[in-house]
Amino acid sequence: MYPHERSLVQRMQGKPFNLVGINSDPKEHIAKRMIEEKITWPFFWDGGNTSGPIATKWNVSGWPTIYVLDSKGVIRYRDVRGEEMDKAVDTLLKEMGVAVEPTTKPSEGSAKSD
Amino acid sequence: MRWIYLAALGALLLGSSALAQTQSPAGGASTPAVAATTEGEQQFKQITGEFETAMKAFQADYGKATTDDQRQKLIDAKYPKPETYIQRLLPLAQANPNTPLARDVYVWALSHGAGGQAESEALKQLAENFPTDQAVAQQVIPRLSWSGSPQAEALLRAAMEKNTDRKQKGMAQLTLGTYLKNNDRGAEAEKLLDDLSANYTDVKTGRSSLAEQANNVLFEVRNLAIGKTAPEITGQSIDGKPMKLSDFKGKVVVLDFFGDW
Repeated sequence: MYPHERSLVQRMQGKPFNLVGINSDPKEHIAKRMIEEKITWPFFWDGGNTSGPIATKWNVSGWPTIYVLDSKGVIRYRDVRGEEMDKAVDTLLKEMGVAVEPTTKPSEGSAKSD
Repeated sequence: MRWIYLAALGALLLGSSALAQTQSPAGGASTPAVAATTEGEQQFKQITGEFETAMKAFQADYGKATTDDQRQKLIDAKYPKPETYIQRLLPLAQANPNTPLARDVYVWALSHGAGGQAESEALKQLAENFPTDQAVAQQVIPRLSWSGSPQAEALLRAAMEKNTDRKQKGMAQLTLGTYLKNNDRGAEAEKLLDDLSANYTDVKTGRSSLAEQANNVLFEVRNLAIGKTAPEITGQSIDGKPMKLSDFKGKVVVLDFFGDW
């Protein structure tokens, strides 16, 4: 999942988009994972275990649990993964009138044609 | 074969003690139904035992594997697929309907991830014959909240309506409420959960009461369904800086509860 999240964050650079995590790992563990997995996006640290205050309030019982919110903060999708997540984000950005590039990666080298 | 042999031996031993009392010929007019069930129970133990042994062997090897490639090969070669064992167990239940053996088979199948036809059959039989059974309450009911099967709903309803044990009844009701919430039937879920919230403050499972657990699901139904405005989150980042969800307002947000502890 980290690779997909990294590519989503990268593709959305400069767009009105944020990936926001709520992390349930012990502090030392997530600190290590941040470096290994290049986690550059913001996240709440929920106290170091799965019964942290945020996960408890949101009644989260499985990880990962995903909510996708539109620009007004309304919940629009739940538990979308991979391509489905990309599509959900694209749809909500288009609703805002923001142009999005297709998810397919440009082949290497071709991006620098001019 | 071995079990048929043992069953025959058992019959012989029983027969010989009967012989001493009644002088009837050994192995003669025994009761086939009872013998068949006993044999079935032995087969149940044999098959589930084989599964446990295979699973332990798999886990031991898996623990020693050091690369993803080795792990994948092990899964392909040695992981004991529960469905294979379930297919061997089902005939035992079918040959002995509405018996503790049938119950054991169906509970085992469901708690080992039975799907498709096997799952439907097991849920249907348990709903009809064992809706208030303790093994069903402990090992099957809690797994059904994420099911989408109508047979699961029927079993949850039967368990909720027929149980006289308040704890088991309440747990079935909570699971049914959660099932309905997960299947986008929020209004029906709310009714069941409101009742738990009002009347089950005194019944505890684990650390919290059924009323508290119902309140958590109600919070989800009322605030976290699609179309609702996400509730504010306040907390802090890993380096202790205060953060809130509304900091990201005006942007599309993927909210990701994650961790691999």
